[in-house]
Amino acid sequence: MNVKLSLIVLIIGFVVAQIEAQSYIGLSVGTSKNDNHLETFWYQYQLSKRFNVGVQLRYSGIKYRFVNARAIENGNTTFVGAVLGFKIKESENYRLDINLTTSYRYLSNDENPELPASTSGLELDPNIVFGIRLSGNLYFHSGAMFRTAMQFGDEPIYDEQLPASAIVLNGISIRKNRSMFSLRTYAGPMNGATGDTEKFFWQFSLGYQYAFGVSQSSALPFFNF
Amino acid sequence: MHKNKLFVIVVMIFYQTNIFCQEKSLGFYFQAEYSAMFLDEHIGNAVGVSIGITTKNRKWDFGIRTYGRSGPINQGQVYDLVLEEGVTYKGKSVIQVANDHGYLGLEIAYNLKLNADRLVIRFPISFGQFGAGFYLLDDDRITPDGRRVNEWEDELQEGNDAGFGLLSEFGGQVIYQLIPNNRYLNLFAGLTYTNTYGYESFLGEEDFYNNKLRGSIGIRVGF
Repeated sequence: MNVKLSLIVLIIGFVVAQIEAQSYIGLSVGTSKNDNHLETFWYQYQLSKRFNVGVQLRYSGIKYRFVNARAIENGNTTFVGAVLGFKIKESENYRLDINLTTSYRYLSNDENPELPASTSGLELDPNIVFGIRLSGNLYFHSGAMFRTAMQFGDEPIYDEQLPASAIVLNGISIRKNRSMFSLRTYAGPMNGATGDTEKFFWQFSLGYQYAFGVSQSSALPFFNF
Repeated sequence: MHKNKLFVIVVMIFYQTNIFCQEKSLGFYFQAEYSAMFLDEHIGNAVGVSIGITTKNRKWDFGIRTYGRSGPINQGQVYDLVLEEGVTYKGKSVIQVANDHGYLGLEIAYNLKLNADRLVIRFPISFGQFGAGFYLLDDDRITPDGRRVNEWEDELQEGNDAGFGLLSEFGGQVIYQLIPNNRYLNLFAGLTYTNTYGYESFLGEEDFYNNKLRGSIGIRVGF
């Protein structure tokens, strides 16, 4: 069993062992400027009224990513990430949250044999999300994400992706009992990648989240999936 | 006498405490916007946000503003890069390049509440730094010698393919509360006048982004 698979099994095992009151589990699928498809599994645990922590696993098929700052269009990525969530304010009709997702990224290059077959990297996705209750179970979310991505290894690249400005985040979520369905979009300028640049980033994701022990009423609808 | 003084002090303390409890707390605002930049040759499309806090009386906003004119959302807005005599790139002496831009600055805004319940006029000013550059497009990004494309972009534009400068802008925005009983969700539209200081690049002359108007529409959320 390789390291990547071991980590995934370890995290899933941890999540299964920890599922109890005040925790949420979710799955999302989506597409983005970077990826033809991306699938994310996450687990969130409510530490207190304000703080939550979580883990997320993500797999994607590459559409446009970088190896040594050169664009490739064929390969895949695996992410293992930790999420810290902080609720700034909440009322009956709105909620304001700050989240930070830090993910280790393993990238397999299936396209360009002149470049390394794989790379390791880190993606930091801090975001701020404001949610508004539009009606009983329907919420609108708006906010911003400030992504920074870097490549490690023989050729470290610390500006692989940098926010030229904030990436705009919009979404809706529908909640019923313990279930929540979400649609989330990202769009905005992105800079970086010495030698090539992202230029503009977009992403669409559909997610489902299930609550254990509590209703979805006070749940953050999703992480940076 | 002392009892009376004590009574007055206790009453005042309760009174002050009550006032304190009734005060609003600091607010939060977030504005996501699409904007049209009225440049000399093109109307540039840009996406951005403003984010920050609102004073307790909801009259002043303090925050940051950031937006960018990104190449992929400005398709067809290209510029001719004429190379020096004798210099070619992949056999061409004239190359079409695109331009992108990003801005980050501080923002202060005054919110003027009108008699109409659902309308606010906002007067923002912003000051910060921006950068803008010209880059190779499509197949030209695959370099003839395998070097990184930014090295070629630098060389072909005499090491000056991008520039940085300061930027200030001020303007007005009309904010409209979208749902009658929900003041947290609003639409807005506005017009901004932009000045830049110190920007210059090989293709981007001093006034490329200077002395220009920018119209914007977007969503404002907050409390």
